[in-house]
Amino acid sequence: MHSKNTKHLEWLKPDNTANFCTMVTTKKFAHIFRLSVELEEEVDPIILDEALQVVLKRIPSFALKLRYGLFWNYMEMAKDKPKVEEDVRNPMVRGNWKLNKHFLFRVRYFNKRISLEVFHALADGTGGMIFLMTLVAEYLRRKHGYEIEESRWILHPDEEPKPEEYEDSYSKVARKQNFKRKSPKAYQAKGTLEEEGYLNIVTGHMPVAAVKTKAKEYDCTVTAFLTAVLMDVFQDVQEREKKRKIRQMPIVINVPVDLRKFYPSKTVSNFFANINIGLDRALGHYSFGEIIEQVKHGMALNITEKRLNNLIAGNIASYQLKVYKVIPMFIKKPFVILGNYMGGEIKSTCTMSNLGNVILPPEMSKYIKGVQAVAGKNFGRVTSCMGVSYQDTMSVSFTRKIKEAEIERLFYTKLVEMGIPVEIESNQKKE
Amino acid sequence: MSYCVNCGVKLAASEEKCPLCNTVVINPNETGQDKKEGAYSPRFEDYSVRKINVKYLVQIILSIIGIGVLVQTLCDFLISFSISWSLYAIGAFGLLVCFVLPVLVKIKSPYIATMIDLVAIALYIYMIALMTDGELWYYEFYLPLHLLSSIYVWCMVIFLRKKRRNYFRAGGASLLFVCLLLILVELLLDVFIVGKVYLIWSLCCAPLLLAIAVLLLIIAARPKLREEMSRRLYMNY
Repeated sequence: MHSKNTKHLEWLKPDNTANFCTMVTTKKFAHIFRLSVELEEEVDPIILDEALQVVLKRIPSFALKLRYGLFWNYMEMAKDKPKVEEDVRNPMVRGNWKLNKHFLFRVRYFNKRISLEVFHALADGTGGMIFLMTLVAEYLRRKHGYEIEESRWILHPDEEPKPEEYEDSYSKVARKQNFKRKSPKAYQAKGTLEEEGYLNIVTGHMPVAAVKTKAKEYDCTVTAFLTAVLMDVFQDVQEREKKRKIRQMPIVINVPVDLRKFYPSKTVSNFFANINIGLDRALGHYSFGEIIEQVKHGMALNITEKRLNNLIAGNIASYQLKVYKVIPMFIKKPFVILGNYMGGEIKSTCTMSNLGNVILPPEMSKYIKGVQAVAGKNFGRVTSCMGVSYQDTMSVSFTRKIKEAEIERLFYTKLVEMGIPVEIESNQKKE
Repeated sequence: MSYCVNCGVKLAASEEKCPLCNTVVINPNETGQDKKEGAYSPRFEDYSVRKINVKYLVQIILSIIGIGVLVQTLCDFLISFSISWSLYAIGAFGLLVCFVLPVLVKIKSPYIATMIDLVAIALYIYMIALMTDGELWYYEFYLPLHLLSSIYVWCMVIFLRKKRRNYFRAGGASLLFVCLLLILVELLLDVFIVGKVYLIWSLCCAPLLLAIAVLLLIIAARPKLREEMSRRLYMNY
């Protein structure tokens, strides 16, 4: 699994996000997300496996295995090869990496679909999508002789990997943290926990044009529009709560921002920052127009280079404390898990991650029917949302660890009421 | 292709009911053959961490302990040309076997399993009493306590077998048992050592335990009070 440029990549110090993800991972919980591509024809697993071995040489950061040190976790280059697996109805639940030969991703296939499940320590949504699309391109080259064209989402498998593709971009761009904002505990929906080993996934497919038209009507971006709809949903659910104290808790939507748009980074690893967009519910009920304004201005205020850099710097600073470095893992891990829960999980209501529009070369597009992105489960929050657009369809998926589907129901029905047709598919159990 | 009559969303051909509101899809124009396999495989992954074969594990542990007991019995025999102190270990090993018997041999009834354990404990203590010439303390002190404890253990087994468990009632009953046990211990000790009954320390503790037990039993008997308490206790009801 070595090539000329990666001979020194025997092991890698995890970046900021990887550090965090490996620290809060337990045998039953890991930050995993899933990206899928639906082809026009049945997937050939043998060719897919061959393609995977080629792509792992091109993007070697995915061939890293997680190793546990006394003071730090680190990533080590794998000497064996991962195999493609048949897909399952309950994806993203096997977070125990020992059962995955310590590889931090899985490639799965079923009928016409190729899916990639990635541990967030390896890559963010953009990085994962680059890996998946490069894999699909290599698969199509082997199957149909497709001439691979390099693009934003595809790396040419014949080229040598470049060090900047697996660099830690956070440390490269981070300056000094100048201010820290304290945020209150946010409202979180409750429900009956789903049985262990199963996550409910509901995906809604909708025409991109219809969503864009609606967003344009409110003079905002697609992400801001979807975030506002989600906030409106949580406002409806929150208003049913019996206690006034809970009804007045702020609704905070966590929106990951791709930092590659702000810095010239080519990394396939993690490079994003989370911003929180809040709605102060103590001030009363908000109309949808008011929510849109809140989200729009919240995003405009927070998505600036300076604010984002401050966020990254803050995250890095906490891991660079000297005291933190000398404490053994088994002592600091419970504190990091608790810190993540108290400082992060309880301070946001839900995540709304939009990967944006995946544009592929026309020659490749004719083999691909659709693209989907599904967020993994959270440690505390019951649901999370992830969206991606491809050609004229946008897919918005909800992952839920409770039985009740009220949030998704309200979200999709609100879109239908606004005139956006939604088609639903899910992994619900057959009786 | 069907729409959910409740939510208004279009449902993929693979959906038998709306995943959002559970409304069953009834489309007279669609036959069963139109149903597609869907985006997800029907296969479920058993992701659980490696399951342990408890029976095999127990067999391994028993074998290791058994070898230890055998070696020390041999040592005992070689030193004193008789089996003396090693009997304690042999008895303890027998007791351990009785405890894990439901795992080795399928004993479905928890009452029988509990009875075997209680009888085994009584026999082991009797063996110790015989070896230390302590039959008197066994009959006069230990056996009454053992009988009372056995009744309590049986009551707890009945409680745990119940589908709807009232933990307040169990707590109250347990405190009552401890109360009785304390009095009985002092009573038996007095009779066994002094020959007369002077109840002092047990009467100091018993009223307190009795008061808490009565309180718990009152709560156990009043479902409305319990509901009100949980409503006030849990922030997220």
